[in-house]
Order: sequence, then C-alpha cells, then structure tokens
Amino acid sequence: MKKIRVVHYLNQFFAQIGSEDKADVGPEIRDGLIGPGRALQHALGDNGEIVATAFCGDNYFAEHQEATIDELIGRMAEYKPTLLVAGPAFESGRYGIACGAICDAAQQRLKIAAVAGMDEDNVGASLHRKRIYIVNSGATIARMTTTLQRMGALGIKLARRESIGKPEDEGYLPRGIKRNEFAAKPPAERAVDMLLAKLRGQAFSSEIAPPKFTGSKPAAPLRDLKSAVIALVTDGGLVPEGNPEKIEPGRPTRFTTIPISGVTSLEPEKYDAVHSGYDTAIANRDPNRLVPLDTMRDLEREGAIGKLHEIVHSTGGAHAAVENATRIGKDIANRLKAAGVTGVILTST
Amino acid sequence: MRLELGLVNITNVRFGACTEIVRDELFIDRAALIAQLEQEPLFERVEIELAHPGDSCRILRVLDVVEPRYRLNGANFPGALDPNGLVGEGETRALKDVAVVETDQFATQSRSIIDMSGPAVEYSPLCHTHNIIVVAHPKPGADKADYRLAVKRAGLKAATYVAAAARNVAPSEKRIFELPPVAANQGPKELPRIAYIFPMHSHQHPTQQNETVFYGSNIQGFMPTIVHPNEILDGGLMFSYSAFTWFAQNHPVIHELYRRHGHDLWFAGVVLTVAPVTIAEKERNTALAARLAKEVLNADGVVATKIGGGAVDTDLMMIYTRAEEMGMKAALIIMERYPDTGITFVPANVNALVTPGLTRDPITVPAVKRVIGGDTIALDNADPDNSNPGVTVIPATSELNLWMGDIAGAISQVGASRLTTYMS
Repeated sequence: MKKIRVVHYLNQFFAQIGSEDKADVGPEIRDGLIGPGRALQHALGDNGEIVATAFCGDNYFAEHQEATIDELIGRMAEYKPTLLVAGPAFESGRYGIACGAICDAAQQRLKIAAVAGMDEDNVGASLHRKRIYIVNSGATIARMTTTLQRMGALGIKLARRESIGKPEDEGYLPRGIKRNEFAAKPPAERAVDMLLAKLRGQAFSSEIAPPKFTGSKPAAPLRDLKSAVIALVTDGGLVPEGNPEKIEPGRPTRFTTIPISGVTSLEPEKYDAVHSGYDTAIANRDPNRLVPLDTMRDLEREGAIGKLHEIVHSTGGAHAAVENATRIGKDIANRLKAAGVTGVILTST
Repeated sequence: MRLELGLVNITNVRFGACTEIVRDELFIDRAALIAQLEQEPLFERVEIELAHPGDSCRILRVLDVVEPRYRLNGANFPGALDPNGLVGEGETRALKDVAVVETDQFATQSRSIIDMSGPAVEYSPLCHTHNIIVVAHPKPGADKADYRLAVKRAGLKAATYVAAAARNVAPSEKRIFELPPVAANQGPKELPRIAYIFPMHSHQHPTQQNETVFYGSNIQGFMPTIVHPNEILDGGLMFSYSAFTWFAQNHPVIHELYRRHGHDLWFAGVVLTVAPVTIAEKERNTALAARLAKEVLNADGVVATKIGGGAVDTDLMMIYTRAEEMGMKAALIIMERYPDTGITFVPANVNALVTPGLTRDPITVPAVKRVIGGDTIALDNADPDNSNPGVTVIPATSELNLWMGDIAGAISQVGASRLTTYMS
C-alpha cells in the first residue's frame, strides 16, 4: 500500500523555536519531523511518513489567521500530502484554534484528510469539532504519546477513507453527527423494554437526546401599528416562478429575496412554492395564502399599518439543520433591522 | 377475537402452467396473473418478474410491498380490494418468505430499491423474501395519482391471487393472535397494562379522495378510535406513504405486545389515529388518543409510533405529554433523518425515545447483473449530499452511493429495523 504523506502542524513551542517570547513568529514549513513528530512517526510506522512540519507562533496565527492559513496551505500543497496532523494542543486555546482552523482549511482546500488533537474543553474544540476529527488529548502533556498514537491511527484510517468507529473506540470528540449501528434487539422490543423499565422505576436511557437551543428574548410589542414598517418572511418556500435561484425545497442553506414593490397580490403564474415538507398545491394555486401580501396591501392602504417592507424573504424550511436555520434567521433579521423594519409577520407551514 | 395465521412454508417461487403450491414451491401462472392485473383501465400492460434471495438483482422504484395472504373466512383487504367486510378473525394463510413488490413507473426520481444480494441484505427483511414484482406501465395520459392507487390495488390483487394457492395447503406453523373484548381484557394485577397509540398517517401529505387506507376509507377527518390489533395485522390497513403495508401485516409493535402479553405485560389494546395538519386538530386528536388509552383501555403505559415526516414529531410529543399528564408512562419510536439535525421537537419532559435508525446514513451497494422496474436511477454517485436530486441519471445496474433510507424495508417507522444510532 502506498505510504501516506503526512504534514505535521505545531506551534512555536513544540516546534522548538521558543516559548511565549517567540509567540509572534510567522509561519514556516520545514522538511521532515520536529519534536513530537518523532512519536507521531512511530505511530504511523510503515503506513506513512512525515514529509514536512509546518509551524507558527500562537499570537501570530491568532492575529493574522487568514493570511497565515493561505500561506501554510499553499506551502503544504508543494509536499503533496494526503494527511495533515495538527497538535496536540492540550488546553492551549490559541494553539487549539490554530490546529482546528488549519485542519478545516486543509480538508476543504487541499481535499485531504486531517486530524487535530486537543483537550475537549479547548475553545478550538468547540469551534471545529463538527467539521474535523479531534482526538481528546486531555489538558496536560501527560498523554502526549498516547494521543499521538491515536491521532496517527485515526489519520491513517481517514487518509485511506476507511470507515471510522465510535468516538470512544477511536478516541475522537463526538462531532454531533449521527451514524447507524446494529442493535442487539429490534426497536419495538427496545421501546417496550424502556417503557416497562420506566413503569418499574428502573434506570433506562433514551436513544435520542433533546436538542439544545439558545433561547432568544421576544421583542417588545409594537406600540403603534400606524407607524410600523412590517416585513413578510416565510419558511414555506415561496420563490419566483421557475425558482431561478434554485432555493432548496428542504435542508435549506440559503434564502431568497423577492421584491414586491408595486405588487398588490401574488399571482399564481408568477410565483411557486417549493418545499418538501407539505403539499404545495394550495400555495401554488394562491401564493397569497402562503404569504398574505394581498391582505397586507389592504391594511397598508387603509392606514392600519404604516408601510409594508418592499422585499419578502423566503426559504424552504423542511428539515433545516439548526445551525443553518440560525444563520439564515440572523442574516434576515439583520437585513430587516438595517432597512428600518419594525415588525415581521412570519408565515410557516 | 382470535386470528389464526397459518404460515405456509415456501422455499422457491417459479412460473408454471397453473398457480399452485407443490412441495413447498409456489408456481405462478404468469399469463393468468397478468391478465387479472391488466383489467385495470389505467394500465397499458403489466409485467410480472421474480427475484430471489442471493440473486445479483435490484428492484427499482419500489412503491409498496405486501405479504401474500388469503383469508379463508371472508374478504381480503376489504374496502381496498374486496367489497366491505371485516378482518382479524378466523383463519388466514400467509406465504412465508414471499412478498409482492409494487413499482411506480412514474417515479423516475425514486431511489427506493431492494437488492437481493450484497450489503443491503444485512438491513432489510424484504431482501430475504422471494419477491414477485409488479411492473405496471401506465396508459399515455394516465393521471399520476390515480395510477399510483391503481398500482397499490394491483399489488393487493396479486398478493391475494398467489396466496389463494395456499387455501388447501397445511401450514407449517400457526400463530394465534387473540385478545378479548375490552371489558373482558383483564390480566393479573402485577402486570402493567400497555396500549399502543398508532397514528397511521400524516395529512401533511393528504390522501387522495379515492384512496383506501383503513377499511377502504381515505381517513380524512379520521378521529382516534379503539381498534382490535388484528384489524391491522389482517388486511384492514394499507399505508398511504412513508411505510410499506408489509409492516402493517407484520407490525413490529403489535407483534411484540402480543409476544409479551401475559409474561411481563398485559396488552391493553390499540388506539388508531392520524396526524392532522392544524394545531387545533392535533391537540384534539392527541388528547383524545391518550384519553382512550387511559379511560377506555385502562392503560398504565403507552408506546406510540408515527408515519410521515417531521410534522408528525409534534403529534408524537403531544401524545407522550398528554399520556404522562394523565398518569400513564410513555415511550416513543421515532426515526431519525439527518445526521446533524436531530429531532427538533423534543420537549424537556420527553425522556424515552427509541430510534429505528437514521435514513441519511451512507451505504454503497455494488453493481448488479439485472434490474427490475426501470433501467436508470436518478443519482449522482460523486455527490454524497445529493444536493441536486434527480439531475444526474445513471444505469441502475451500477454501483450506487445511497442512503440507508433508500433500502426499502431497512428502517420502518413502526419499529422494524436492525439498527440504532450513535453520535460520531
């Protein structure tokens, strides 16, 4: 089997440049291994070879993150690596963030495998654990060798695109990504077992954890509707006819903006509803029932509201990942706020 | 009420001069079956194919799957196939390890497949049955929705036709499903009484006016009601979408409650309901369903499952909450769809969820020699996220990068699968 070409990333301390006084050293890359690379090379064995070691001062990385990543990724590419191993960074926050960011960039831009190492409470872990594999190193260097062994073993599997086992078996931090596995009993039997345990007051554990939401404080009610600027927003998938921006009918990552200046009613031949979670027939027959533009124009004319915002924001909300839904929501809210909108009618499906 | 399900051993299925069972082999008069199914005015022509466990064969565009059954004492699939009648009582013959698989020839974007060999067989029971496949070609101009219902009718017809051959064959095994009337259904005090609350459909995708789901009803406006579990097992229920009828006939939760009845629990009965679309209806139906379990079935605990998309998750959570407010304990079976989304509607009080698996988990199935039900599949093998569904079309014999949910029967929302999930 072909040897995996590995680049190892370290900070200035582990690259043996110096400690905190050298934290502003700029990015560099050298042939072969340095310091902890010896233990990593041992873990890789004949499966891989550390062809280069990249390093950067922690402060320099933090202060020039984008430029540093650009430079390191460019110089790494010259070594034609198939795997990037970063750290372990233990509890060092700046180093942890750098390891996470460089792994994330290598995966995306060089399309290579990447594995980082750091403590589970390292801020770099919370920033990057969803997108990259991070081996839990613990807070101190006591577990340096075992951590590098795990990073090497996991890196080999990732570089060879082999299937990756469970977090507790491979040693990485759970990324928040569910996978299937075989169960000893069928679901119906497990459900009855769980119910009986519950009835008997015995211990049981749910197989699905509730989601964690960050709460938001509702805005104060509008005092005066007659001066309010009201916007219409929907997750029901309203798009201009033919869906020119190809807004996703489910799993949204984007939203669209529909100008309604001078439009008094949403005519069915000019708009579509695209959404994988409900029967769109009625919305397509009369899009005003999805986004009540006709009624809002009446209220505007009657003076019941001050003004209707002249852009409708829309996305297809079925099966949205909470992360994307949050981002889309914030983005729309910021735009509305900047445009002077004081109230929003959200129509959902 | 007592149902005696006679399982007739079938070791092979072949075409023959007449439809009969000889020494554990089912012979099908192909021309006679085709002629029966071609009576449907929406079909231009019908093909019947066979696929056996171990074959290098793939079935495409799977719409529904039915276990061949024949009732010795009355109507088969009343309201849907035969005129009105009742099921769940008396003797029924079932062809063991045989299934009728319906394909939807309009569904060119469908990724629902059955592979008869390769890794898929580890997951779905429908890869282990001798499959009789109905490929019905629509007449030009046929309405898609009407065609779909006609195919489902054809599947019931084919299943009943082949199972009729078992009328005079001694079953190799008899299974008894018996539960007395509610008032007489009393067990020992120490056994907890367990009811099953079963939303059989979510009207987020409404049924057609002429659709036959429960005893021929389109179940629009359906209110929660007590039914005998045998009605579901014996052909009273045909799913509209999101689940295969095979799993109503072999309902995992009902089977499990029967299996443990009198051992570590007492099967109190079944509340059948639907998931409506408005909040008011959801509140009404879920509260009434829990009320029936508590006040009519006198249950101590309830298991509930769902059919449909994320919208029904809310109904399940409401059933759970109402049941616990009424003093019962509850556990839910709820399928997971996306690896990173989770189940969004889980209130803090809900702590007993079982997952039959994650549908969007990748599985690669190898190239096969033969395909049934279509030549191509809408799939981009290089795009694991399937971000442009249906844009790329490849030969259906190819190696395919699919999702677990594409393997028909691998994950059933009513609680059949070999899977659970873990956080990676």
